[in-house]
Amino acid sequence: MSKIAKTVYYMNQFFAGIGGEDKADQPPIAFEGAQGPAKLFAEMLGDKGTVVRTVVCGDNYFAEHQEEAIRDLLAMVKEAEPDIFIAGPAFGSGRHGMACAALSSAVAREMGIPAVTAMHPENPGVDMLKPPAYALPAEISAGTMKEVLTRMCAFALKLHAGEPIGPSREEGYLPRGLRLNRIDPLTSAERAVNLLWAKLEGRPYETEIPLPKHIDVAPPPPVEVSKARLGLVTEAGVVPMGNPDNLESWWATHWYSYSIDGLDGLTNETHCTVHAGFENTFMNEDPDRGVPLDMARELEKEGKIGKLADFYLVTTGMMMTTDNAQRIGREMAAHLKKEGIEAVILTST
Amino acid sequence: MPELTINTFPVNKLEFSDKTVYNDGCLSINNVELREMLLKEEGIRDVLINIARPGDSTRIVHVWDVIEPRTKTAGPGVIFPGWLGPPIGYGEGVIHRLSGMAVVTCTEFNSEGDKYTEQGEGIIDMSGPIAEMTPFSKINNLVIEFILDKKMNLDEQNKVVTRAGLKAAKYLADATVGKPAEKSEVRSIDKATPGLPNVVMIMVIAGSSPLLDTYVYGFSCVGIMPTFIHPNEMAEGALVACTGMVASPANTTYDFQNNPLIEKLYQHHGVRHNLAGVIIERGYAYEYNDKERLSAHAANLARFVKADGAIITSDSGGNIMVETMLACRECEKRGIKTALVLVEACGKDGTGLGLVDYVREADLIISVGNADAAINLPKMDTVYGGKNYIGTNLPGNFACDRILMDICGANSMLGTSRVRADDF
Repeated sequence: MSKIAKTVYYMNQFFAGIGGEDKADQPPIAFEGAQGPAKLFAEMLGDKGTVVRTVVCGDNYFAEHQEEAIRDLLAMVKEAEPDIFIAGPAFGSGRHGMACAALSSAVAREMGIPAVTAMHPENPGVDMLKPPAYALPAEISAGTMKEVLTRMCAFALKLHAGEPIGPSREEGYLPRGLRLNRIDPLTSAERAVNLLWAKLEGRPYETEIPLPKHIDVAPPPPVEVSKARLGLVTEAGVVPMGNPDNLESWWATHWYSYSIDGLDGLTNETHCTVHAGFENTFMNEDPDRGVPLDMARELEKEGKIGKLADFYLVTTGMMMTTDNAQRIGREMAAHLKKEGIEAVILTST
Repeated sequence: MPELTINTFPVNKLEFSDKTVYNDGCLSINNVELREMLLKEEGIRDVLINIARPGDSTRIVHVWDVIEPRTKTAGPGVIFPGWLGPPIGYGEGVIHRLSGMAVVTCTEFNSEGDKYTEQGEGIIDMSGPIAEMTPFSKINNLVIEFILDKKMNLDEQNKVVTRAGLKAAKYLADATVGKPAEKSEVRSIDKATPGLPNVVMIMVIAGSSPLLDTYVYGFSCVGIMPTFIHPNEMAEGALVACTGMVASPANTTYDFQNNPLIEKLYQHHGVRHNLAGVIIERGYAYEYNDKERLSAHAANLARFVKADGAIITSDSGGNIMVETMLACRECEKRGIKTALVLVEACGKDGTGLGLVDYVREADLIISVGNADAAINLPKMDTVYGGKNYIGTNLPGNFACDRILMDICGANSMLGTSRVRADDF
């Protein structure tokens, strides 16, 4: 491999020299050859590559017309038949970062060529960067342009040459939410004891499994239960008999809403569970054990709770990945809010 | 306190013969005699014995446990107390071990009476790309497949196969009686060196139901409070595995006997730290506040022996991670610095969040890899331990797409494996 790396380079309206905030509405436009920082990048490529086209879009235009912007920019990129794609660097600029990340991800995925961008590790664009694209870390300020471009150039050429790429902490790119197994020279026993010694002896240490960034969910303010519109939500896999929508028994990726309008309880003739994580006999005997409709109706009649929603929401919580759980939770919450539900009882098994 | 001497007899060759004899690294096994001995066990209808050597084009399926052959030659008590004799452990005397080999017990459990509990696959490939991921591909394995009497419940079946496997392990190790050991080691952690940090190990072990449990001197650990267990008691077989739902992150008896974390902690005892104790904590408690109770108590035991640091391990995965994280939190709250050794559950493609649960205090976690990772098992010439992949009609030596969780030992949290997940 290692033929000349034909490069297409993306940047926003500011770096392209079109204008500042006043030109953030710039629709996608292509220039032949290198513009703005792509010129310095081209020098760094030397005889290993050329910048054949620079594609540009205003930060606001991209944010407000993301689908069309990506579609139009992708066409401009494809037309130039590049071997590698470079975007940014976006430094601390959020909109530029998101555009660089979204476009790099689309190019890498659809064209199968190396796509490299760079931005500050806290740039909101980082979460939007998807493999097989890469983002390198950068400072907040654009004053470090030359240093970042040097790294981007070296890394892009490495990808272009088909060299194997190691983990992010060895190669210097930002983690992409992708954890892959490999064989370490040391056993986990050796690494664990070495790292504990470092922690005990006051030397620096680094975790091998970083905790998720956003751990805390602030609880919303309490509701007046006797007046609230209340919903029932469960992960117990309780569905109408026959499982009409084929809710999965484990590794679930779906959730469903089922009517309880006019029902005073769920019975072993009307409902059942499909959950693979517990002995189903007891739940099937009385599905109110998973969705406490019978008790909720009593409390509703006694005025102890406000009106019950006329549906309940269900998924199956066995071996559900955390990402799916978070997505399903968000989707359920949006649906509940739309229906005017203020609080839910969430049953787990 | 009395000491334990461990005499090691390495095995680099396993063969069948008309007499069970150990000589100079070669273990000859009278497989006819061994089979007859095992057939006498109540509940066993048939026994198939095979040898799987490193590099063989052989796959072992339906693995229940991996056991290092050991026997006790001097001192009070027996090897594998609670199974081959009274459940009275001493952790002293002399034991012999056959290193470089294992007894691998295999069976297909009949779960009809317990329909909520399903046996998962347990696989060891002796060669090929997956062999690299399990420590058990690098030792000589005596594979014993048990065909069981179908009339027993799952708990009884577990115990029949476990007892038979341990009996076989002792039978093999008995061949070393009277022979000179290649290595003889006296194990003791009595003398502490003042001025060094005290380190404990907190092992959170599975304790839930048949196929997901740990035997402590022959009894299920469900319901026990965290307690101290001496490394020498573990060497004698105080802890025996009982996990058949998942393979790669489950602790095997071999892991308990040859716990690499304890080995390393022991090696540097009195030199870089003092190994102040090993604590076992039952995981998979059914209620959250029980998990808190157990983990806080484990941390209190650690504090009782003045621990400055704790290595915390887990078993099998799932809600046991709650206990494991709580143990971390409670230790850190008591000023005990922690390092966790954990398996990740990032999904088949590695994009999922790996930690089932976490606490803010868990700032040092060592990875033993993503157990969910998709793998391709290549075709092998031979399959031992069973015929087809569990629950399928596909012969076990055929190529198959699986996940790493099926591979025994690949994500062991007691330190054997070199598999590790990293950010890519």
